[in-house]
Amino acid sequence: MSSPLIQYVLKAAIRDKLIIAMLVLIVLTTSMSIFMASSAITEQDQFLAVYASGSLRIVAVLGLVVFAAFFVRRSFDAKDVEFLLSRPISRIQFVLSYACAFSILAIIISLACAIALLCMSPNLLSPAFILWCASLIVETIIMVNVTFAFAMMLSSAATIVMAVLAFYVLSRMMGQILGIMESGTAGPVMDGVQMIMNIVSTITPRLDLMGQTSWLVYGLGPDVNLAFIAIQGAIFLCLILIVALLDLILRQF
Amino acid sequence: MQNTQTISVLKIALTITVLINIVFWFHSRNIKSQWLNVPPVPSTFSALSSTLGDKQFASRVISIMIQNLGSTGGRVTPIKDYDFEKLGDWMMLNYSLDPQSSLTPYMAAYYFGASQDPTKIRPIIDYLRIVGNSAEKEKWRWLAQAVYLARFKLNDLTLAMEMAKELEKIPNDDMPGWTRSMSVNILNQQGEKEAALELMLGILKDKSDQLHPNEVNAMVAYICEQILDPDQAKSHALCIDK
Repeated sequence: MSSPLIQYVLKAAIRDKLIIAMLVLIVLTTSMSIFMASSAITEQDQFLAVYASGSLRIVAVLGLVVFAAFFVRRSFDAKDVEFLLSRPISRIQFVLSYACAFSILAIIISLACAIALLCMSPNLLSPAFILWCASLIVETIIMVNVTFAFAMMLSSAATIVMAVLAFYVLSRMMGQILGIMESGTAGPVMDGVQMIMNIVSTITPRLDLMGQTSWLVYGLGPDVNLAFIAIQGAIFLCLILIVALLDLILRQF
Repeated sequence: MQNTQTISVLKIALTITVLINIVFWFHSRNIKSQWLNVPPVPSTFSALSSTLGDKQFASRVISIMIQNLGSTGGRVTPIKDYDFEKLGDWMMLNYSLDPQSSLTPYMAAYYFGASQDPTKIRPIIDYLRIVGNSAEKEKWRWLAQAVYLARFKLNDLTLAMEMAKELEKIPNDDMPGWTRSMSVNILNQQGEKEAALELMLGILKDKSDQLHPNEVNAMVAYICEQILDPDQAKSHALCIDK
């Protein structure tokens, strides 16, 4: 990895006002959640935790995806990538440095979300909350690196954002989709679709099992633990970075 | 010179379009969104899609939607005008997403259950019956509410007896004694107010420390404003404290 390259991406995030924009969005989202929760006739605390955590997770992922997509495409369009690769930096170093910088940004944004939640409701602090934060960090790292890989392959920033968001929805709904297929209610006509979805699910992270807002209300479920979250994050991160690396190595400038 | 002319034409065009907008506003300002009653209930998959697969988030969004149904955009709709069949389906959908929350049962028992047209509340009773048939914590109280609604609002003694027997059989050692003789209480000929008062006071006496303060307040208000008449309320200890 190249330290100057990591700093280059982090400085770009500051220059593009990503951090400030995300902090403003976090404050707005939290305020909106407080307003929404106060309208509930009972269980306001639970409402607040669920609304704020659910919304903040979506805001964090959206912010990182939009930034990474536009930043990487701009780097290619302005020939920054070609310039950087003309320096003594290998393509492997380039991909790993970018991935590391994006991951650092994901950690910063996720921690900001967690701090906002704690400031709003200090009694949320519990093992379930810590696992939720760890899960949010892994989820945002996965998504920002998926965006990075997609940005290496697709040429339009708008297309990248839409493709990544479609992937995000698919990942978060995968549990439901697999459940429908398992139940056999889809019918014999859907056999083909079922096979396709099974293949797709093998390379789709189960984000529906991560960062569940129910953990903050009812505690941890029996099906998820930190090891599961970490292993899933590591496995998928390896896959997506290898894809990005292959694309860059095979690319003719 | 030509630039000045273009700017003048644009200024006139701007004035005209603003005026057209104002004229259009006189037509559109009185058009308000229509409420087409309780909307159709989506599948669980569709409901989850709106929150990207987060069950708890989806459940809370639906809870708020049920709470605010018919009372948005400056409109207030009498509960009797709601489509109770669809309302019951929404509640069941919400129950499938989060069986532990007490918000929707709370609304079903104290808000929708108080409909001006009690003949329509059967779906609400069916919902409370399912939610209350649980040995978990204080869920039994929703079944007790269902018994009360069936007996004294819907006037369906058979249904009330069935549910009262179900209540008696719930394996929860923390349930107060009166829940074990619910079917006998239902059979005796005491009036609606006495039965409601007995039920509410029973829950308040035994379980108020385990309920959400808002629910306790709602029960006290129900007793003082719905069950007791103003004279009775003035002399009742619970209402004097309030």
